[in-house]
Amino acid sequence: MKNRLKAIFALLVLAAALWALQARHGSLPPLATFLDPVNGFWRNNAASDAIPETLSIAGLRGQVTVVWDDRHVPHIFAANEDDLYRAQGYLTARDRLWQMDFLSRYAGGRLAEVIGPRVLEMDLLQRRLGMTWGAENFLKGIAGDAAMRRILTAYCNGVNAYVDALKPAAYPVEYKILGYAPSRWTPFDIALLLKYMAWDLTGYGNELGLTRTRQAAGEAVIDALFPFFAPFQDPVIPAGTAWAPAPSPPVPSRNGAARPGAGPVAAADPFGEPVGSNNWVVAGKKTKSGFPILCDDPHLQLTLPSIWYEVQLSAPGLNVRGVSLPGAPGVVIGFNEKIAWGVTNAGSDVLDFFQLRFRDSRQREYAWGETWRPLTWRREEIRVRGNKTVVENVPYTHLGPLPFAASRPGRPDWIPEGAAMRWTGHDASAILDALYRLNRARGYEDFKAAIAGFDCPAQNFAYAGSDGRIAIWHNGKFPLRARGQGRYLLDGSDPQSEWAGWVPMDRVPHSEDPERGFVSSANQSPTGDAYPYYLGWDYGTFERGRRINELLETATGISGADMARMQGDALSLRARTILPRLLAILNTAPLTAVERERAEGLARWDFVHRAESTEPTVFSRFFVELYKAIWDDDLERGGKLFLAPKADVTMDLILGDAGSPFFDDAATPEKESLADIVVRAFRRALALLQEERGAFSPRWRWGQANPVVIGHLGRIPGLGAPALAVSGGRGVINAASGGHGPSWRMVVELGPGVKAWGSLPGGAAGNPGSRFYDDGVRDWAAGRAVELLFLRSAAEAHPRIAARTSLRGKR
Amino acid sequence: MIIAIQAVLILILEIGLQSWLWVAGVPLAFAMAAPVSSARACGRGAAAGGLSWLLAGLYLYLTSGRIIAGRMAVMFGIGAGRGWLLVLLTGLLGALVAAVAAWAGSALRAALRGAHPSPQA
Repeated sequence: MKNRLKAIFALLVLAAALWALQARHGSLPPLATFLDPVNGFWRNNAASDAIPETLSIAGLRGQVTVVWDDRHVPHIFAANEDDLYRAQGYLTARDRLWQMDFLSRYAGGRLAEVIGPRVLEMDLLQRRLGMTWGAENFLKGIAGDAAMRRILTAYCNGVNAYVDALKPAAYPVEYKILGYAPSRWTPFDIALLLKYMAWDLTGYGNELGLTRTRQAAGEAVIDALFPFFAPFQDPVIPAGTAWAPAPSPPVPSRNGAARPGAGPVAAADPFGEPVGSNNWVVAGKKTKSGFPILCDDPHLQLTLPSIWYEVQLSAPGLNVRGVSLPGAPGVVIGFNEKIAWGVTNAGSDVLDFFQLRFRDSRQREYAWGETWRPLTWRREEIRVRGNKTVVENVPYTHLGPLPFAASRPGRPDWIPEGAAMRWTGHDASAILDALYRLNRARGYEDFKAAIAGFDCPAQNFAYAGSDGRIAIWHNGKFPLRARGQGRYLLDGSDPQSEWAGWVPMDRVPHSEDPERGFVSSANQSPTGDAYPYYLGWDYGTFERGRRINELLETATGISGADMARMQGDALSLRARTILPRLLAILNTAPLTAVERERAEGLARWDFVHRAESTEPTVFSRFFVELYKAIWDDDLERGGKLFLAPKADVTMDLILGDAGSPFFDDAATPEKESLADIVVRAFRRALALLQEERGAFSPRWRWGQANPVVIGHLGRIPGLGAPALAVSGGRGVINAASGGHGPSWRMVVELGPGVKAWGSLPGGAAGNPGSRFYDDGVRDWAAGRAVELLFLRSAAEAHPRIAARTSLRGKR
Repeated sequence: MIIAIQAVLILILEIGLQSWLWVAGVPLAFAMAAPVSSARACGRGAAAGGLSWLLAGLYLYLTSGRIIAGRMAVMFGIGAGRGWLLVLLTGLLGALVAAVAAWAGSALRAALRGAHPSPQA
C-alpha cells in the first residue's frame, strides 16, 4: 500500500513537472520544449545557411534553378511563370515564414488568436477600419483576372509546399517563442499584406484636428498655420510648370462639424513625418556613362527581419531584380535589363471622414440628402487565445465603415466618432497587375501602362530607361474634389460632399525628360499652386527635397558611386535655413560662458548630422525646445490648436514674422518676444542635455544621443540589432533616426550592361540564428552600398555566386 | 554503459518522434525495468538526460548555434554574450526532468513488484 501511494505521488509529481515545463508562463516560452536541443530553439541555428543542392517542391512542372549569391539572395530561373512564382513563394517562406504570417495576422486583426487578449484592441481596430473588407474587395476585383489568380495560386502553393513539409523542430523560432504553429497561406493573406502597406502609407488624417482648430480659432488661423502650399517647398514637379485647365467639381455646400468633446491630443513634434522616402533620376547628360541613373530609398519603420526580401526573378519574357514584399509575388522596387523604377510615398489625401447624422439614438439610419439610409453590419469574429471568441458587429455606410459610432477604448484620437470612412484602399485594386507589368516593362510606354493600375497606395514613381528617358509620376487613384474638400470633416448627409470621381490617370502630376536633367521626390508637395486638381495639403516638409535638388542641379559626370554617397548625405537644410537667425538672437543675449561655448560651436558647424559630432545634438534639441515653446501653450488644454503646425510654418514665422502673437507664452503673465523664447529654449535644451547625458562630453555626440534602433518585428528582446551610431537624421537625405530610416537603398545605372548597388538594414534570412539575418546592417549604417548581382542566365559564372540549388517537382 | 544507452536512446526517439518528452519517457522506462535502488535510478536518469541534452546543446552551440544562443540569452535576461550559459541550463533541465522521471519509474516498479511478486522473490 505504501509503495502504491509513493508511486502515485511520484507520477503526480512527474506529471506536474512535465505540464509546468511545457506550458507558457506569461510571455515566456514553454521552457522544456524551447530548450530541448532536438526540437527547441537550438535548431534555429546557422545550419540553415547551408544551401541544399536539390529541393523538391510539390507541383513544380519543370526544373527551376536557384543561384544564391554571397548575401544569400536567391536568383530564381524558371522555364515558366507558374514555376517561377511557386518557387518565389517557397523560397520566401523558407526565409521569412513567420514575418509573412505575423504581418498578415496584424493586418487582418487575427493576432489575438495566437498571442491572446493583450492584443485584442489592436485586432478590433483593424476590423473596425475595414481591413478584412478591403482585402475581400481586392480579391473580388481580381476574380475575373485569370492570369492574376493563377499567379497568386502558384505563389501560395509554393508557400504551402514549404509549410506542409515543415516539422515542428524546424519552425521559425518566433513560433516556438510564442507557442503556435504556422498556417497555410492564401490569396486572402496576400490581399491583407497589400492592405497593410496601403494603410501604413496612406492611413492618416488631420480632418478632426483641423475641424476643431477651425471651430476654436477660426479660418484665418487655419490659413496662416496650415496653408495649402507650405513654405520653402520645391515641389516634385517644379513650380511654374504649365498645366491644362480641368473642370472643378462643385464645392460642397457645407463642411461637417466635429462633435463636442475633447481632443484630438496634438503632440508638438517638429518632425511629424513617420514615413518618408527619397527617389531621383539623373539623365544621361549629367552622368559619366551617358545613361540615366535611378536612386531610391523608401523610409519605413525599420525592423528585423528586414521589411523587404531581395530576389531576382527570371522566366521567358522576364528578368527582374529588386526587393519583394515577403508574402506577395513579384518585385516591388527594382530594375530589369531595360528599365528601373523606384517609389516614394505620394502623401496625397485618399482618406476622408464623413460626419454622420443619425435618425435617432439607436444609430441604425443616417441622413443622406432628403432620405435616411440604413447602416449595414459586418460580423467580425476574433478568436482569442485562452479566451472566448469576441464578436464585433462593425457598422458600414454606403461610403465605407463607421469605425467608431461612439467613443470607446482603442480609438486613435485622430479618427472621429460618428464619422464614416472613405478610403481608396478599401476599393478593388489592380496593384498586383501593375507590379506584374512593371516587372516586364521594356520601355517608357510599358512603364506608363503598368503604373496606371497602381492605385493605392499612391506613390511618386521614378523611371529610368536604357533608352535614355527619365520621368517621375505622382501616381495613384486620386479622388476628384474641389479645392480643400476633405481637409475638414465632411458632412455625410450632403451628397455633394462625396467624391465626384477620379483624377484622370493621364492628368496626375508628372514630368518627362525635363530640361534640367533630373527628376526627384521626397514626399513634398507634388506641384505648385497652379495644378488644376486638388490632391491634398499635408505633405512632407521641404528639407530633403530641396537638398536633393540643389545637389543634382550642379552635379555633372555623375557615377553610381556618387549617387550611393548622396543617399548618405546628412546636411540639414533646416539647420542651414534657421540657425543663422537663431544665432543672431543668441549673440545679443546674456549667456553664461558654457552656453556661449555651445552657441559658438553651432556657429562653426557645417550643418552636417555626423554621428561623431555634438552640434547636431545641440541644434536638434534646441529646435525641439523652441518649437515646443512656441506651440505647447496653444496645444495644451485651453489652447485653440488641435493640430500642431509643422516645422516649415514655424520656421517661416521665425524668419518672417518676429512679432507673431504665437511667440507669446500664454501660460505666463508676461508677453514674450521671439528673442525671449529663443534664449529660453536654448538654455532649456542645454539643461536637458546635461541632465540626460551629463556635462558636455563625447556622450553628446549625435550617434550616441540619437541612435538608430532596428528592433524585432514582434518586439521580442534579443532579436533586434544593437543601437547604431549613424550619420543622418530626420529631415536629411539619410533620414535614419530612432526606429525609422531607409528600408532599402538602391542605385541603378542603366545602359547596355545595367549595374546596380544596394543596401538593406538587415539581411536575406528571417532566422535570427542565421548570419544572413542582419549581415547588411553594418554596411547600411556606414552608408556603404554593395553591388547587386544581376545575372543573365542560371549558368552565368560569377565569383560572388555562393551555390546553386535545383528545384524539382515532387514525385 | 546503461547511462550512455539511455542518452543515445533519448536523442534517437526525440529526433524520430519529434517530442521532448522522451527525455522523461526513456529514464522512466529504464527505471521501471532496472532492479536498482531509487537513488541509483534517479542518478542514472539524471546523468542520461543531462548528458544527452548537454552534449547535444554543446554540439549545436559550437557548430552553428552561437548566434541564436546569444540572442536567446538576451531574451531570457541572462545578458548579451552569455549564450554558453544556455548550454548549461539545457543540460540541467534535461537532468532534472530525467531524474524526476526515473524516480517515478523506480517507484512504479516498487509498487508493481509489491502487487505481483515475482516467482523468484
